[in-house]
Amino acid sequence: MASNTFDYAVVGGGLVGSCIAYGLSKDSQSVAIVDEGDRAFRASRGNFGLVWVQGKGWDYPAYARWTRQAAGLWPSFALELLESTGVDVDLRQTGGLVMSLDDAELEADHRKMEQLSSHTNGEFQYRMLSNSLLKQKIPEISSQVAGAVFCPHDGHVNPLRLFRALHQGMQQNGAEYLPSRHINSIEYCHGEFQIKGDFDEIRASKIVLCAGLQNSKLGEMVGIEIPVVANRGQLLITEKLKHFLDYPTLHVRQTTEGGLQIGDSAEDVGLDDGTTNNVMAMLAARATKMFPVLESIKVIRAWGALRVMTPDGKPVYQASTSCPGAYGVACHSGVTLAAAHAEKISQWILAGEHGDVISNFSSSRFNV
Amino acid sequence: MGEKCPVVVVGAGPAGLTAATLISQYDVDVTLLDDQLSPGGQIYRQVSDSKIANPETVLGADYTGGKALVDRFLESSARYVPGASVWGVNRKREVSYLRNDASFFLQTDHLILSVGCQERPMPFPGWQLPGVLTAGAAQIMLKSQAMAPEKAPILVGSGPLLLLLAWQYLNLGLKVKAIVETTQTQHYFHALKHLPGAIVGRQQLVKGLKFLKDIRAAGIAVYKGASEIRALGDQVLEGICFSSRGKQHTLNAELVFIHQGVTPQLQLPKLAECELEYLVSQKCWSAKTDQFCESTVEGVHLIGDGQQINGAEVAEISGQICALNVLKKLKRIDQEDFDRLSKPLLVKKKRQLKLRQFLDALYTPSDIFITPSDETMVCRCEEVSAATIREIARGGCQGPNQAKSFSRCGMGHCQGRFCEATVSALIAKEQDRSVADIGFYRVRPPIRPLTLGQLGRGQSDDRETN
Amino acid sequence: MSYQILVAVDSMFKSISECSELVEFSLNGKLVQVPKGTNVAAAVLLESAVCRTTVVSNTARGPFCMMGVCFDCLVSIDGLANQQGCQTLVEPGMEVIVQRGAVEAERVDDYG
Repeated sequence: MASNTFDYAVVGGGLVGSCIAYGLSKDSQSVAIVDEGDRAFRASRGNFGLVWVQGKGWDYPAYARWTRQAAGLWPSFALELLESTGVDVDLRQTGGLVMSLDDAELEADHRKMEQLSSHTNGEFQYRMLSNSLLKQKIPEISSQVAGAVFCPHDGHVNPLRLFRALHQGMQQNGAEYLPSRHINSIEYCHGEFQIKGDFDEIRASKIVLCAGLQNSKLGEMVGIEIPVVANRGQLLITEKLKHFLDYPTLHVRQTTEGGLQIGDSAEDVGLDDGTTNNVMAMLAARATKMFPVLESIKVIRAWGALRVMTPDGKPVYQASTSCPGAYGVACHSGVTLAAAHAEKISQWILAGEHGDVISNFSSSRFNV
Repeated sequence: MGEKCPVVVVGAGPAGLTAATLISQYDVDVTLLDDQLSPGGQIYRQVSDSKIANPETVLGADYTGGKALVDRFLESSARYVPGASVWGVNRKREVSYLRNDASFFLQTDHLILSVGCQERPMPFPGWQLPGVLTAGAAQIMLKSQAMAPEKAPILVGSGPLLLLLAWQYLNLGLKVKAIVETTQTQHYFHALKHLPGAIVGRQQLVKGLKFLKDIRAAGIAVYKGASEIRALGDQVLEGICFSSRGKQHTLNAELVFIHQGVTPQLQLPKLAECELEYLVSQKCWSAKTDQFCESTVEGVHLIGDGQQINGAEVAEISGQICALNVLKKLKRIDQEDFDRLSKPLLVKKKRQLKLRQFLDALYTPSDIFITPSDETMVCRCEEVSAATIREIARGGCQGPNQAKSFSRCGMGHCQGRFCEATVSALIAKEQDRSVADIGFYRVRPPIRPLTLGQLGRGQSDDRETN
Repeated sequence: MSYQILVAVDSMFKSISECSELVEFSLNGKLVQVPKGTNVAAAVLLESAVCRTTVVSNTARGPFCMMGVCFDCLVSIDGLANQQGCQTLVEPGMEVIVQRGAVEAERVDDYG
């Protein structure tokens, strides 16, 4: 297609943008995905791959419901991706574990779970596991672990395969991928958005901003407030091991290929996606404390990636009032919410409906 | 974090040894970390303790000549830390390394990286079969292990190392089954225009011609302009087929040594956030430095083939220039001394580089190895084919880092050392862009594996006592 | 476990070392003597071309670069898998085993 005019321009080709572009392009709309190049800050390349329900929204019931709904949409979404792209994203919703190294931490987790359960009228399920019950699930666990929360709704996918499947899928649906477009301005005139930069101007009737940390700046151009800051997570990855871990945990999970991902650090360091020896050492020490069997397992890579954090850590779904047709999406749970973004959020954008779910995630909540 | 050292050198090849020795002569405390157990780098490996009878006759005087350099270093006051596996550095010049199962951290104002080169990947169908080794590996076997092929090997590729290896085997009375040269005819013509400049290095050229003459005299079959190379075999290497001058050849072989030149090992400069530049003449990335070998990151100095491929002579000269620059910064020599001492070195280096232009033009890698056929395994660790990379590139993937996410290429143990060049070149070719535009893999620590236990324990309590 | 397929290959290299001091170690359970100062990958090449099978496709690999950058010569040494053979010297009594596929997370005593 030679034309630079589209029904929808999705800005950002990460997991969030790819899901929405995938959803929009399924509806036979002409969709452009405007993306950065190879070295952009990409949370999508650095994430942990958890489809995670437990703990989320314990203090914000709408988020708890939204997460639960998103996890529920995952099985059919994974199947759909497999059928349409041939890529198996390896969804395994086995239930997941959050382990605590001491009793106080375990008790604090317990209280959050109780609250979550009461928010959702018991729909959110969980079990508290003692060390011996935990050992029945994972024999390799250390006796030093106090216990764990088990949540049957949790699971994990291969996030890199998901990323590839979405890129393949949206292009199969006819969406046009326009990479290496660094946007300088977005102008709204006569009901059309003009996206400008060091490239041929792109025009679209509607625009969806999914540009992660760039969203604050881009949002201002179309009258949407999307407050986001970077929060760095560092991850370690080990050599491939024979399968031994049947459940994903918040700190350690075994990938399809056999390698372990070890993570869950959080730092506010601005736009620095580097790694530091002390955090890497902390992650390694915690992992071996939980799983002594990992003492002699080798780390072959580490990385830092920047989470896209809103002020309260919950997603933002915001339509523009000054520039009708502009939408902003920001969240740090691009994997957990993937199916919901592909389905519900693209439907919201297509129909312009303001359902209950969406109104709970307007950025106006930050201005109270 | 970690022990503060005035000067830290990483790598004990000609560049690092020269720099460390010279700096230590001015009563500066220099620490040299090296992953091998004896100094010399790959080029002079085991030179101070060769286990081969008559090493000068067999391996050549260029090799044994390195002993003087090693001896000078060992006699110097520099603190030598062999067996140190450096797994991380950063722009603050913090160095992390592992030695005898213990972790150590150093910090310095003057970090000199001289980590040398690696074999340029030479992908073709079957290059992953056991029995296919790099020519560099065969040479290391000879120099450091005193081991020679049991079966007559076939040497495939191009570059001076291949001829040198054949010549060394002849000196040992060993058979070489064939030399399959992939140098393209047009490269000889390109090289000719650099010949006048290369005359200063005529000794080396004469040596090369001598090797060729001896090889011919020994009656070794030499196949020229070879392409369509394929290693044959199910579990292990059984043979090789290729076309040369319009004819197909199939040869049985249990050992094939391949070579296509060398490229700088840029993991540490990348971790230190030094700027790189793509050298079209060498078809590889190199690290930017000023003429006194300082990188774009203050206090990080890059010398030898780990910065840019220029060979051992230039590595030594750069080691001296770099040392003088560091000594000036440490106020051990003044500007006047610095100018006086560095000037002749800069002139000498410039002259040496003329020979390099000739060699680069002659031995420029063939396109068949830059962008191999679809079935070729590009990433040996994750077993990703060229076809997969091409498919991803056609989907708009902008560079190697995204390709890594999409295909797992570069995610294995070698961390992309043997697929980076190919992945970038394939994307460039598919999208009709330059490799310089496509870019390179971002590198993350640890660049050498360490266990979770070693990482988690942090700084070892035992101080190094060397 | 059988390693027969993997070690059925002949010796690839021979020693021309003047060093008379030998070190004895075990390779796949067989006692082997090599000159002192030999690294594990080189010692493997004295016996065979193969040091492991890959995790991804379970196909054979052997030493490739001998300078610590290709990570093809990974072997199990004294019970620890994925050790770089070319970066490790043979020690008396060392047990070297050709690896098959992925590493196993080793059970260690948990006294916690």
